Amino acid sequence: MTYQLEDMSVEIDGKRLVAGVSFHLKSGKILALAGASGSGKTLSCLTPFGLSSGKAMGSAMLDGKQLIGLDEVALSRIRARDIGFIFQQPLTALTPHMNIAAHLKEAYAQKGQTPDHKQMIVALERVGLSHPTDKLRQYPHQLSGGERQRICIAMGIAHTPKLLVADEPTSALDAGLRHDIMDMLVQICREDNMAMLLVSHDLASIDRYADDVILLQDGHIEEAAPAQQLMQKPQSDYGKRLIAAAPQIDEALYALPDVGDSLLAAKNVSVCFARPFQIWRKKDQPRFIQAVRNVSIDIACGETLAIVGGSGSGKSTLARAIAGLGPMNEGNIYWQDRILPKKRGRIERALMQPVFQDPMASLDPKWCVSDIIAEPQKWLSDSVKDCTYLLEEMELDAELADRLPHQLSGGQAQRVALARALSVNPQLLILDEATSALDPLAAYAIVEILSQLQRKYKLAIMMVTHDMALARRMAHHIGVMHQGELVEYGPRETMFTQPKHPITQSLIANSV
Amino acid sequence: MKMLKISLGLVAFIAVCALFLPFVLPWDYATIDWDGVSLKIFSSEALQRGHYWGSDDIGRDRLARTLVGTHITMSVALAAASVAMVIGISWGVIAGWVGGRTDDVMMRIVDALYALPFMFIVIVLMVVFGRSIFLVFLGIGAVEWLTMARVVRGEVKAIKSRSFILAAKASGASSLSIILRHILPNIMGVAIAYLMLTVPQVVMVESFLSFLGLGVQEPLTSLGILVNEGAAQMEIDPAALLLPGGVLVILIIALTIAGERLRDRINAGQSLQGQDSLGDRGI
Amino acid sequence: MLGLITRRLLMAIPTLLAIIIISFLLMRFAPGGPFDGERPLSPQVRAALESAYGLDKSIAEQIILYIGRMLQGDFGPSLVYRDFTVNELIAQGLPISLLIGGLALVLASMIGISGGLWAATKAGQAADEVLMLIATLLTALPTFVTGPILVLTFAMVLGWFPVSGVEEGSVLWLVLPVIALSLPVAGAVMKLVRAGLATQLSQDHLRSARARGLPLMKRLFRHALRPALVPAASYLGPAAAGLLTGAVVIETIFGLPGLGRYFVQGALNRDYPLVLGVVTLYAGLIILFNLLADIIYGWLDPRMRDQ
Repeated sequence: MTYQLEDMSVEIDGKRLVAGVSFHLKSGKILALAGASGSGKTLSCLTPFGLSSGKAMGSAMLDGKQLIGLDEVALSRIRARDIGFIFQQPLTALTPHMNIAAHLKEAYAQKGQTPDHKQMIVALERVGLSHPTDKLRQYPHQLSGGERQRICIAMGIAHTPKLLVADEPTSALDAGLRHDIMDMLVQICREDNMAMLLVSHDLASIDRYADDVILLQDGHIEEAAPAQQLMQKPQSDYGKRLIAAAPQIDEALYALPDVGDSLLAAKNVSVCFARPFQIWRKKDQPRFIQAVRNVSIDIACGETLAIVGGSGSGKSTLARAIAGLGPMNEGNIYWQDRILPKKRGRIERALMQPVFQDPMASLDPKWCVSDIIAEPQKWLSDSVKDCTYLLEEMELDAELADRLPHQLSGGQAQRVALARALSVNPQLLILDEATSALDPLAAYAIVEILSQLQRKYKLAIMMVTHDMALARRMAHHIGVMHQGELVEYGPRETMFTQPKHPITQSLIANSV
Repeated sequence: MKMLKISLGLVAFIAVCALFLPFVLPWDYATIDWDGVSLKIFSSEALQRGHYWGSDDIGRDRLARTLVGTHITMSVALAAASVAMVIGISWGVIAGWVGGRTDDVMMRIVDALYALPFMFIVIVLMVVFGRSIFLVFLGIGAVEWLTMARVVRGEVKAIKSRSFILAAKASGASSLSIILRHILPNIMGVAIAYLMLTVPQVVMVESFLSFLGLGVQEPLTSLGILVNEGAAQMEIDPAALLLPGGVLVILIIALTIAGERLRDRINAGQSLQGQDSLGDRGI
Repeated sequence: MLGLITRRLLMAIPTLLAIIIISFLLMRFAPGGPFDGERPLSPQVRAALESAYGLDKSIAEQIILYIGRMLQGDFGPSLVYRDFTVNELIAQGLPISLLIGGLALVLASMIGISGGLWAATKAGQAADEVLMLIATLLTALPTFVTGPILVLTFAMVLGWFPVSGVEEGSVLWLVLPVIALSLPVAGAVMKLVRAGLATQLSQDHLRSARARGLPLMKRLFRHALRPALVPAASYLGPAAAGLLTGAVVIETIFGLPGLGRYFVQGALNRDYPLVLGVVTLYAGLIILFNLLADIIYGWLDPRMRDQ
């Protein structure tokens, strides 16, 4: 099998979003399309097969047959016969009212086959699902995200396609599962001698799985190279910047500013949430969900503390409790030996300010930038800081002051949120995954600004993240949380060389 | 876009006619023309006597009556929809903002009220408290707020989960200030769209009540009463049914289309704002 | 699912009680009574009548007595239709209301679902726009306008159907009232089905189905239609009961002796037991139909079964 793009472009509503993409893919090979969001990687991957709202131009040849210009009927025949697809969102990719057996039958029907029970069991075992007989009877919502993605893979390969198109197949899954599923997917590809077109924003996983990489930016190719060469010796300027921006777990340790006296200490913090009210509660179900259990941390002046953990580990809940924005059932928060009251007043609020994950959601869509930045000062401070000055400090154009949030890019919006937080001169910044929704370059810019500000104002930072490599780059101390408990705590130097707890070890292993 | 403008234009045109045209007509809605009973529309005698749309069976000018009926129907509808909006927004905002048990109880009450045979309740209210125009709209308004409360509560919950509300809390803003300055401006669009959709509902209910003889009273009239009178004599003169019926239908359709288009536009706008930078799928 | 149904049924009890008590109090505190006829009754006659119907007891006693009898299935005597009990009046009126309402419900669902599906297959084309405009028109037309117009056209001018009343041994008398009653509901269902399908068609699982090369018709019927019907089902629950309620107008226009007419007459004449009986019956029907809608959700979307 060969799949070849020649000077392929994509337009949506007359706007050219992808231009001049060419590549060549053969059976048994894995080609990755990499790039930030908005780089056009998904578009260039799906449009030739008629699966995006865009219009493709140029040439896309599958085994010598031109795809571009074919009508929907012809394309759907080709998709059914030769191509398998796996999409990003396993939670919503399956039809809710059809059970797994019905899904599999439909996948086999693409080639006119009707699978018997045994065939389906084998198919499910091949993608690593346990209890396949039970699974066949179940509905999608009764399975976990990882299980659903395995089902999607089983469906994608049921008709033994020649080419497998995988659009960010693991980015919606928990970090711990990503390697397992990618390993399995790549192994199946190699066994069946399929070609795979992999779309991913995760350079580390591309390095590990792909043979070749196409690096896209703003709809054009920046660099095309074998995967290892791109990671080690990027040729293009964009490639170099991108690889430098993404934190690596084995990079040389950055120098961090000196740490002063203790600023904030949280002692024995516990948080629990009430379960939604149920008339018949199952006996083994507790009435409360313990989100954070007996956690103590402290942060010094000028220090960065990273709290790392998987989703549901309670790290964000802890951060909110400390910021006085969420519930706290037990424990105390000390600010330089003074207990902070449960209900925070003006003075306490001005001591620490939060920055959240999704920059768009953290700005009121109806307010303009200057009003957003001025909001904390209105309530918390007597002096009024100049909006232009704050914007300049964030390396933003003063012209942005009159814009509305939807007119900003993600990186700009997050810097506005940062400017709002810093407008009242807080001594502690609480960052809840503040860079994880951003492109690598935009995230890098924020990290740079933060470290400058930290030196300038002796700012303490508490950052919550799932990214071990980022924690290693930024933080003096790292705490690892799992199921509401702080399972390991220590300086960054020893955390990575001698991790003690199995959770820490698996977090580190999964970031390689 | 075009439909929205046309519909709003039509509603405005009907409203202006209902307000100002009566001043220039030769007959008012209550005066009886003893010499011009049951004149057909556009008949030469009708035009001669100044009854451009004819007259009814006791000699009152049909155009003037249709206009005053329109006026009454629209005023009642606007007032009742405003009552519904005020109750609905307050209820929805409180339930959505406070959340937890309060929200549960408040929404259960709405559920329970939905289960009421509400048309019957309105009829019982009308019968019990007599037929005053004030009660008509109070009664309808008190019933029509349920949908508004549900929609507003859903919106408030969605907005509350966005982190700019947490950021405002961290900024030291009080709950009242957050509601007034962050929540209300963000739900206003949706609330107005649903207000537009409530108005035709109310027009329908008011006309329905009038049709049953429970609405406003003679000599005042409303479109529902005129339709009822028209239906009784449609065999003799179909215009008696078709004229007020036509105005009523055009009014309801225009209001419905305007409300739907407005709602769709706001929903489309919001989904654009809701796109986060994580999602690469759209492109 | 079972939990949901039990919860709904438990909720129904206080709801029904509240409806009965509120309606009871409203009726009792209203000025005027059932025996305020043309000429005033002598105090003795009045007292005798009131004691015969139990109106001389305290309000609380009356409510408890009433609910007690109602639990045994007895709604008491009608005060205005002197020779009938409320049970007899309901037994006379209910079959006609149920027949017309049920037929209208079936017709409306059929028109609505097929119209919505048809519009969805023509998404973005002129036919879609036209169908949706028709749906808006249907929802915006009040039955008390369409009813007389239908009568005028098809009964008076064309003479195909009877103008009003029930004709034994024929079904022609049903046609016009059922159509008039079903049109607004058909329009609403059409819109909801079309919107539900549009939502479903943009979902990930439909894209997956498209990626598998499934043709549009199979995608629509196998993957999109069932979840797309959820909004329509949640509308049809209360609307099914509303079809019986809305029948008040239809029954008036077409001169049919259904429940709605007894209700309006009862309300106008302060016939407390009749009004209370009908209100309770309708409230019960609404609760029942909402419950049916819940069960239908479970079939349409298995996620609801596990809630």
